[in-house]
Amino acid sequence: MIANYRAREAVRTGFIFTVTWLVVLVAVFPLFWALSTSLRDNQEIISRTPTLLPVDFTLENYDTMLKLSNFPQQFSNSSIIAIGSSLSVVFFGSLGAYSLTRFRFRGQALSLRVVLLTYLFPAVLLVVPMFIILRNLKLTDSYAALIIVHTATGLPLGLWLLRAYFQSIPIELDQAAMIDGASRLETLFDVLLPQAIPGMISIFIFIFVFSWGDYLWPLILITSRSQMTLPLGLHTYMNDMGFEWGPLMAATVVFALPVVFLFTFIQSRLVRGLGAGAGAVKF
Amino acid sequence: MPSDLETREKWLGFFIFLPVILLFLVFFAYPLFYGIGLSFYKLNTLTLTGPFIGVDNFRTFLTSADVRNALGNSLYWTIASLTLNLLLGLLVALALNERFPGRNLARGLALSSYLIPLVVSAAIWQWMFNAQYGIINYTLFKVWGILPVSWLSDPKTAMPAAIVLNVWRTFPFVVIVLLPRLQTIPEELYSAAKVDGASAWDRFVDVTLPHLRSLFVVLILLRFIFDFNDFTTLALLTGGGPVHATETLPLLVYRQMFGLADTGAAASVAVLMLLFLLILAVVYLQLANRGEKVAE
Amino acid sequence: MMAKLVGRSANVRLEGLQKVFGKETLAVDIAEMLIPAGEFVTLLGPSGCGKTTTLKLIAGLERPSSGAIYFGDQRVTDVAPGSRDIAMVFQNYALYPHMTVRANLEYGLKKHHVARDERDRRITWASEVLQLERLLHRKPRELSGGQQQRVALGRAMVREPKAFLLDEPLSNLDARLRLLMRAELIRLHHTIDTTMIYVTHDQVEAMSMSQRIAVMRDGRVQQYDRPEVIYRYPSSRFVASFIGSPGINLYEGDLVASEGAVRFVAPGVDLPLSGPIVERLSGPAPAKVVLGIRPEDVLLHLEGGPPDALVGRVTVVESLGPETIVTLETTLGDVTTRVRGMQPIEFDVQIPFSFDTARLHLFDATTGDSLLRPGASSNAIKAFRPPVARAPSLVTQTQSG
Repeated sequence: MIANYRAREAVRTGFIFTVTWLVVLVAVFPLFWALSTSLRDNQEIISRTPTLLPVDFTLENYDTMLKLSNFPQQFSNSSIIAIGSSLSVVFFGSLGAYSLTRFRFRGQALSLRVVLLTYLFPAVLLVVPMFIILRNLKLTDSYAALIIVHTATGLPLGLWLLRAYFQSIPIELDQAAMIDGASRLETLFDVLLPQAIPGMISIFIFIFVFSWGDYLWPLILITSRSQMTLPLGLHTYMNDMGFEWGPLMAATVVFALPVVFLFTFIQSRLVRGLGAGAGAVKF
Repeated sequence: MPSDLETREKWLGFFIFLPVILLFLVFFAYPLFYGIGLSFYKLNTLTLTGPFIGVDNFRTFLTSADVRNALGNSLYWTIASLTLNLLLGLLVALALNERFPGRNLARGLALSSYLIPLVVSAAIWQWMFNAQYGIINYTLFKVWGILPVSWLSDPKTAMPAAIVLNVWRTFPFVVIVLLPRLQTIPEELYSAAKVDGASAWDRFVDVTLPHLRSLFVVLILLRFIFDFNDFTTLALLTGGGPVHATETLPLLVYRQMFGLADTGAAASVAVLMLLFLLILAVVYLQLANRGEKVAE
Repeated sequence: MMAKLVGRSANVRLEGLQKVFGKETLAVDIAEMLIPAGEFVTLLGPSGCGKTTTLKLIAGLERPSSGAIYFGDQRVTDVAPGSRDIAMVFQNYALYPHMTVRANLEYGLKKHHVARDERDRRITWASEVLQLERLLHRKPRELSGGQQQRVALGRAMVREPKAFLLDEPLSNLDARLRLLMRAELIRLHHTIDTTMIYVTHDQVEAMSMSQRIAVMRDGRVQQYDRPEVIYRYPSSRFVASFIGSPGINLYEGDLVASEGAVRFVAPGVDLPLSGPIVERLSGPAPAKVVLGIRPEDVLLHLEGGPPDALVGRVTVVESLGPETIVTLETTLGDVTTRVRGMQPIEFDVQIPFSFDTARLHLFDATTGDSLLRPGASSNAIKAFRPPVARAPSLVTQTQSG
């Protein structure tokens, strides 16, 4: 027990500082290592004594990656699907949240609980029938299929978060708008949605990240190489002949970039918003 | 007496909600019941035809070695991940709750592993776990002289390695849930405890933990469900191998459907998973609620 | 350029209006009420009395459980708020946070399809009147409370509505600003001459601004009349004690009729009622009554009083500057009175006092109704009487005795 109060405080802060940055190191290392690996040539990669940073920087891995296995095509597929799903969830989620918070009809509370319940269910259970249904609709192997399932998966979260957002907007604004002559839908678009933009952005990013990285649904629904998304493409590449770690790491870095970019954008909001929502969850 | 205005609005509200309900019904409720129905058939995945066999699927699989192995792996995977996550997450949340230089930056970076696409993380960790060229084996050898381990090819080490990846990736979820609550605990409570002579451990147990209790209840439930249902992590890292050492129930479902081409069997395993989760959730919530009442 | 809007103003009539919340709670129960066109009428009462609900019913933000609302000859009960041609000022202003001041002012006009030129004209006019010209491009969060309030008013003004509805618009302002805005509102009403329906729990606001006050309690209107009438002739004990500060002095006692005179009898008091008071007694007097006397009608005899004067011991002296409030402890109970100027009155001194017997109030001890005409009823609303232009008070001071 160090008697001196100040000294004790200093030790405590120092300890916490060290622990935290250690954790940060562990959390950040893999991506750093991927970047570092992607910038070295094959000789260094398979060397028995790797160094932290490449001795000789090279971009040849990026070059290889762009040329083979449809990487640009897959990047574009993933982008279209992720953006499409995010927009759908924001759109339908806003409508749903509006109806849940500003109207009164029977079955509202029930609907909300049931919709949230969907998260309990193993995706694998739904995969089997969804595959059959979409196959019968001849929708497999298309953008539409993935956008649909991603939207359906992300909608409960969107509803939950946007509903919390709408509830924090005072009802007097609706009333003022109604007296000003706005219809219910005009009130939603002119008054409520502009207020909810931060929430809508958060949802967009969450769903984007989910869709961008989803592996299961493309695995089930996509069969042709041209329609593949990045997660599927990457993993397929890993099972290909002539597979090399260098280009793979390059691909993963490029794949992770949009997410890292979006993430820095909502950094503080993530801790505040998600935590508040989850803290309020009581099944 | 509700007038025209009220009725008209009720319908508008319902109408706006309709797309959500439709999406839910078509893409969730229908497949769910359809899937449950499938489990009563023996269907060939390619042709999707087959006889109705009633509960035969369930009878077979309740006794099959595959299912027992998968269930064991699922429980191992879920409980280990859950425990480590809670411990690590709590520790990091406590640390991030303090003020120190660079805290905001640290907060962002420490939680970044959750947002990196799983495919990326799995690929990188596969590379790091590589028996010959992986950085982990290299470091272990250089620093502690430990001989290289075939992390992902040795049935004994495959699951622990996978669990490391999983915990690395999902502990931020715990932090994100706990941290805001930690930040709302009034400083005065700690001051009062200090004046009362409580040690640091006492303060943790008597001031901090009670505030987190309700969150832990939710966290345990959510993480159990998510980990139990998780398919992608293991599918990407090990594919269920080596020799089914990391094949959890979701992976078994996949193998049934596409490997053994028996859709009915796949569906039945999935249904079993669902039942297991539902029963567990109900029992768990009962216990948790009762515990809370007693504590008061 | 101040435009007079009197032509557009409508009178507002409530008929059998009722609003029930949940299963049983009767929040509003108004048999009949007429708000004449162009008048400033206040709904006054304690929290929960139904005044805000009534306002919302008039606005169309709430639907009545039964009854009807008319603007002029038009029945508006089923008409949407946006189509009633009204404007509302909210307690929390409810300005659209993401729009500039100008856009806030313009929104309602756009929704009502007012032409661009006309919109600009009205916005310019309102900004001038309310001194908002330099604020037009700011967002609400960049404005002070007082400025936001003016924008809320402006938003209502540009609509040139048939009636303005104001829901406690001054409660969020500090005391000084509140006084300024009160004067502004009075001036505004005089200029625009549109029906204004105002809700507040502050009786000073009600008294100073309104041409007519409806005192409400538990969903019903206790009294609906001009401020002077309500102050001088409260129809019930509740109204008498709600209006006026410091509050009216109230004492329980008996009315005794003997030898052709009527006397009020209570511990330590035997007060014969003066002629004019007795004349105003409506109907047979019940035995148990409550006597009311306002502090300004209690005469303090600092230089010694008549031999039959009552005497009280000074317990509280509040020197406010222009006047002093003195509380005496008497056999009757505590008596509060006010005297002009700063009087050097000492504690515990015995001072004689008497009541101005022409200004007494008498209420039934059980029902609380006033026993004196005018205004003998309490729950039902008085039938509408045309206002006697803005004439000075009808009641003149009379000598006691």
